[in-house]
Amino acid sequence: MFKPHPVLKFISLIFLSLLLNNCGTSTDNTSHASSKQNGGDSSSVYDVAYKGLTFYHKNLPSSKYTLNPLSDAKFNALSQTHKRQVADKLLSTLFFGYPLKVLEEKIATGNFISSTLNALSEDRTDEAVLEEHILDENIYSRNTYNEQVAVDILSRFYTMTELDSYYINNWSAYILTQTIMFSPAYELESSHTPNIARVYNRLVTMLKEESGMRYTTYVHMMSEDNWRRFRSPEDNGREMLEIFTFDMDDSHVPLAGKALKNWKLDRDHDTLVVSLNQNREPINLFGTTIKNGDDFYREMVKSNVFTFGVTKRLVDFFFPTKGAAKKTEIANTIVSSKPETWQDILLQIVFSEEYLLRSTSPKSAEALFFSTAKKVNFKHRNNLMHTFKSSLEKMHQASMKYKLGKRNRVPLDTLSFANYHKFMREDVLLRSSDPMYKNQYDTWQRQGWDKSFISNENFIFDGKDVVASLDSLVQYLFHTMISRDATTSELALFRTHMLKGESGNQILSYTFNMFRADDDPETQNKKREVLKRNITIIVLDYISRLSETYTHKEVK
Amino acid sequence: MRKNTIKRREFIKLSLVAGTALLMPSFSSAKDLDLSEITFSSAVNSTNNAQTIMIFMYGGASQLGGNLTNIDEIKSASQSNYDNYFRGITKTANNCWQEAGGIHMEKLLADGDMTLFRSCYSKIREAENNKAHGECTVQNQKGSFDQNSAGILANLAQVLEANGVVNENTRMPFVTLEGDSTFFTEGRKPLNSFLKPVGLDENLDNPYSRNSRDWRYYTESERKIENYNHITTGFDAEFHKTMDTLAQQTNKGGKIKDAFSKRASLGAFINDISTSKTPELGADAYPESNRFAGKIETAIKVLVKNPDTKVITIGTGGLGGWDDHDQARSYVERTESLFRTLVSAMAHIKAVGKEQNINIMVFGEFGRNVNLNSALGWDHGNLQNFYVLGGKGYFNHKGIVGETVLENTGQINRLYLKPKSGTYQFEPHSIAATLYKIYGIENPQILTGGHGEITKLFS
Repeated sequence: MFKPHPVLKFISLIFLSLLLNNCGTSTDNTSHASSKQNGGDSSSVYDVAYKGLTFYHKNLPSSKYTLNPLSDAKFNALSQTHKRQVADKLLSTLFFGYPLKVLEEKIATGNFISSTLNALSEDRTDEAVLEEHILDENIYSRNTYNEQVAVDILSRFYTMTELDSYYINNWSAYILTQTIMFSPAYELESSHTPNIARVYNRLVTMLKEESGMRYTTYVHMMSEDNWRRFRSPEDNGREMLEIFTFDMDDSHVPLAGKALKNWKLDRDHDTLVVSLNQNREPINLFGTTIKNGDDFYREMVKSNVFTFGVTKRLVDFFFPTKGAAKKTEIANTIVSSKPETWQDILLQIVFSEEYLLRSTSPKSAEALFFSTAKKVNFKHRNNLMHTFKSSLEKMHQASMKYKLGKRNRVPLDTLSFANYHKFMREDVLLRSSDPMYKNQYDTWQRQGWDKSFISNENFIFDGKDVVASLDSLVQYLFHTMISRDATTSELALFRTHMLKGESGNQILSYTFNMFRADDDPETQNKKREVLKRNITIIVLDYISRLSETYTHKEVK
Repeated sequence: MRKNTIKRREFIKLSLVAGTALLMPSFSSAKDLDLSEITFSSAVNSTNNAQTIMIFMYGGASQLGGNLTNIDEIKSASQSNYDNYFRGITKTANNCWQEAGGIHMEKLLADGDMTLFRSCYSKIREAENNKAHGECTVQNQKGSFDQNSAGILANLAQVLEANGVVNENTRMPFVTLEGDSTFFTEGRKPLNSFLKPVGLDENLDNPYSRNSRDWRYYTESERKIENYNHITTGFDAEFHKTMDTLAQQTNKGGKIKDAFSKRASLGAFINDISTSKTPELGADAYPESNRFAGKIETAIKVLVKNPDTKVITIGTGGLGGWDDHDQARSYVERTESLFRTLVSAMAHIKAVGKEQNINIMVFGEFGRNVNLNSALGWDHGNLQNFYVLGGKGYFNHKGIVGETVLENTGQINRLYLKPKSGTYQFEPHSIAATLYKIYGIENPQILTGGHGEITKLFS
């Protein structure tokens, strides 16, 4: 992990002090923010605390994970097919992917798992260049509608090419904002488009600063963004108890409401106001005595029930098909590792044997689309991210929209899934990019998978054996998209449609003849590329009809 | 990207369609439905020939729209001033809230089209101190406190299947216009594909159709047919079917496979129904530019067009959610819009001669506390109204049923309506039992933990 800059952290501390003062923080004699040593010394920042709430934590090393991580040795012992499947599951979970050859090279190193994990603590992205690129209107169109800030976030994932610390901080923030814990909930009248950016960007910034999950949540709960979602003392108190600690006891709600009695979302621009008329009577909650809103939020995140609560929320998110008892067992196992950062939980889940080998779940549209785009070197039209965001809404997988987050991450009712399939089939897989329009972002001809995706180096291209060549191209596409071999029946399907002639003397039919000859080498090359594209489109269409395309598979 | 290289408020206040509507993963394990315990009457099922629209008010709607009986006491005990905030709380003849749909409720009551139950109350939740959205939604959509139970409509589907009312030739017995929900959560015995709900939207968008007339899919002989791939006069290549068949042979059982298996028929159905016209409804015409009204109108069109459809579930997307913790004035407008639409719906149902068969049930996870809090809203409560409309062939509408009293706990913001002593009341699970009953299940309490049907509707 990069070295955190102590000055920035102390600036954050000052910010927090201001924030707390604005929130009617208590004036009792409990010690305020303090550190064992005074500022500037980076060794001290991890000791900085406010009334027992420690701000910064280093991520746990994977050796401390109690949910058994998948080791390189165990990964290497898998069959080649299973290695591809597991690697693809890991990468697509992170919304990432590599072209098949690159992936196979990485697998062949023998340290795919550990090198992927280690890369997440490295700093390789030029953030300034990346952020400018996303905002370039020639490349990504910008609208005054359709929650542009949410589109920017999607554009960032599409653009990022390095699986590194910047990436994983963004991914972590994205996952958190999809859950009930941090959803900006832009469907609500009181929540506004900028709240999306505020919640998300604050998470990314705080993750970068190694803010612990307790501190992050404490700041979020006290924010105007959160109050625009849950808007009265009773509502906010009730929901924070339920969401972060699974406390459903209605008798605790009046206590929370009392502690928050001076907090109000004013109708004037939906502004959070914390008046000075705070509660001054002692209230017993979380096994301690609290009085005001600051106490309520702070003591909640300091409690043990908070650790289990947030862990369980994330376990529910990543293991939707496991039974309730198993999910509780997984959560308890993770809690026993004493996680203090979001990535202690998130990475522990994603790199675990339980997740990579023994779980199955529907693939989110982000996981499928972003990973596919990287595998096929997708070229986009400037409006694609707006289209993707709108499609997510139709799939009922809208990002950061729902008041209670994505309680069911991937709805598979017929209508939602039909929209999912339609987007992947018609906007992604059946579109090939015309190289002539490489720099014309406003043209439809630009949108699609790149010519390089099916370059002849990726499969056996041998005009002396057209059947083997066709099979090889089909297998390459299957390996790329669903990490398995095409079956005999599937190979036969494509042979039947694309070959003609008697068995043993077959040639590719005109439409698919990627070996077509022409006197002019340039013309020949162009025609061959077009005809190879025809094969690819048919095969990808078939793959779009397979349930496994939309599924994180279990490896048995 | 490597180093050194290179307003909104449309669909305001959507219901929590993909949020609370999707509370339980459909994979969750559940206990078996013991069909041998069910007493089923094919005669009742056949005679009733029932079709149902279930409207679930996610968030928990206040009961005040349909019950201002205790408003004077409420006003004097409330933290914030009702009159100053709402500027219009007028009682109708039956003590409904005139400004919040009361006029429409009165019309429905006067026409004998609706029964308004004011005392749907959960003693069990009261004892357990439970007023949480998630748990209460799941419980009401399962019709059971048993967390391992299947959803109401999953149970109903399997009972109807077991008794030969629906089979693989039944077209779309269950439809959702809100996405997946706990109503359809499966038990340990999985639902057959044809019993699972199909999703439609109010605009009858058709994502089920595929762009399929690409010339590359046709055989040479198919291409010889004139206009083979014309967008309207052409035909789909046989190769699509071949690919679908092999893909479905490869696909493992589950929702994705089910969705693929229904895709083509749903595409055709939507094309068919999109030409259906709503009869002229005069003064009762549906409100314009109203998504919720569009959903109800579409739902009735589906029920009329397709007698096989038994139940359609709908959230209140287009009106907004009902979790009115603050600034509750919008509740008034929302409730007005809801009941104006229900008046149109009943007019529509009557115009097509289906008032004997089609019923509409309106409820949510719970009602609300009646203290108008400092944020000018209401916290969660435990008593709600249950509105049931239509279905005149099997329901005897009674107008208003149930009386309430105000319970002032003395705590700030703890002001509740409760059933008056001796008044008719029922647990929310009796709504499930009532649904089961009209479809022919004679002992519905088997499925609801002992809570029977709402007897007042059948007496």
